[in-house]
Amino acid sequence: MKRSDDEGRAAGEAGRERLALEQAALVAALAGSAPPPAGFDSARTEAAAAGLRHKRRESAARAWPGLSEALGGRYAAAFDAYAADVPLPPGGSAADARAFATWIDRRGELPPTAWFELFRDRLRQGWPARAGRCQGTVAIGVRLPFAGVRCWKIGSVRDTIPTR
Amino acid sequence: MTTSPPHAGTRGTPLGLGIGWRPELALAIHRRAAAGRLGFVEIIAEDVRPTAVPDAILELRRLGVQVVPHGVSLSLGGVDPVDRDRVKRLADLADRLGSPLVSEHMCFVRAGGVESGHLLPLPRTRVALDVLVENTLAARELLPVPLALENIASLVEWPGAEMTEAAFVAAALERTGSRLLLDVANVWANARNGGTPAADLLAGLPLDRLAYVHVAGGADGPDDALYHDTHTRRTPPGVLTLLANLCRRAAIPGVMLERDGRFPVEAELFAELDDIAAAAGAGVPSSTTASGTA
Repeated sequence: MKRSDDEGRAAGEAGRERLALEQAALVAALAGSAPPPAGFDSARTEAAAAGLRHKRRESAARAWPGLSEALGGRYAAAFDAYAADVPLPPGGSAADARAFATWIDRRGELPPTAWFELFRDRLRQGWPARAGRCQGTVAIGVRLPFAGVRCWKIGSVRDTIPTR
Repeated sequence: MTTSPPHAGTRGTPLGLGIGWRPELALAIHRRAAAGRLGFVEIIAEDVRPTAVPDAILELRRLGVQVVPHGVSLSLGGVDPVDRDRVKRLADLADRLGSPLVSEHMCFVRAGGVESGHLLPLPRTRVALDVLVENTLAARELLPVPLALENIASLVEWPGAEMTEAAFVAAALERTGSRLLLDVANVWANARNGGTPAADLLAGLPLDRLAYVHVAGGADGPDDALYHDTHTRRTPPGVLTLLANLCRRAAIPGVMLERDGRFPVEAELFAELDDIAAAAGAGVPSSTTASGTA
């Protein structure tokens, strides 16, 4: 009896390992980093992947509206390029939006209004004092207990999103 | 909408008419609740810290509106063991807000260390069922209130199904002692995309385990002939018809609208909620006082 219990357990574990691999293969296919696994309809998988790309982009925009507004019409293409490069980080769409901003910043393509958003966001999340430069304008910021963040600029680059 | 007591024989806490709480809809939700025309809201657990619940939600509690924490990241069907911290978030919210239950999904969201960012379908196999059951039982150990599990919509289907969707769901609920969060929009979407016909699925589900119902509106894909469950459009007539059919078949403790984007103006939102209440019929009170907590 013990032998068939052991065999049953081993079969169960093998089944789980196989399931884990199959689940990982589906996630990879939906992220566009692998072809659809065997037995999955490729048209449906691509439709689902496209839906996920759209959802990821819209969720990040909702999590950080100032960022997508600052990028305007360039947002969709820029975000899709980032998303193809960087897998979804843990921490939801807020973390995703932050990672996107950092990614564009590294390419020097973050528009000034978005740059200041990112500066304030880093001030809220990280060190309580920070200095940076955006196109010749210097920004200095501190995070104060009970008072939030305060920033000062030396230079002419505008910080606010122009009103329509 | 009537304010009569819930249908006799309803199991589970009567909830009435509800909506998914979103910051963009907070004002409209508050106004409807203050007018006594909302029974409950569902909050996304990952978006609300138990120690920093938004005032708007606390105000809804003061108005007698019930709050159901809804998780989207437990990945109960994933092979990795369930994350205790994520379950604790649900538990803490339920304690903080006096919730009658919490809910999650029959799905997985991550695998191989990669987040999918979405609720992904499970294969309808005995192995996958065992994994879902094991994780759900582990989660239930840590929860102070009942758990309802939701069916998801999916454009992709696993090959090699060993049982019907109804059989899979019924077995999962039976073996874990969970309630059913029946997403009628997901049933409709899957049927529309060639999956299990809605009538077949409803006939095979344990409707006596119903905790509450989701409805929502989606959109046809621009490049494909598929219906995408986006929660960004008004609930379509087909979903309301399915809801009405369901309510003729079984008493439902509550029904709520999910809207995640392209938010409508208040008048349009209220009209949609009224349509949902009308489709559900007299068994779903939309008054907060009907749930007995005001």
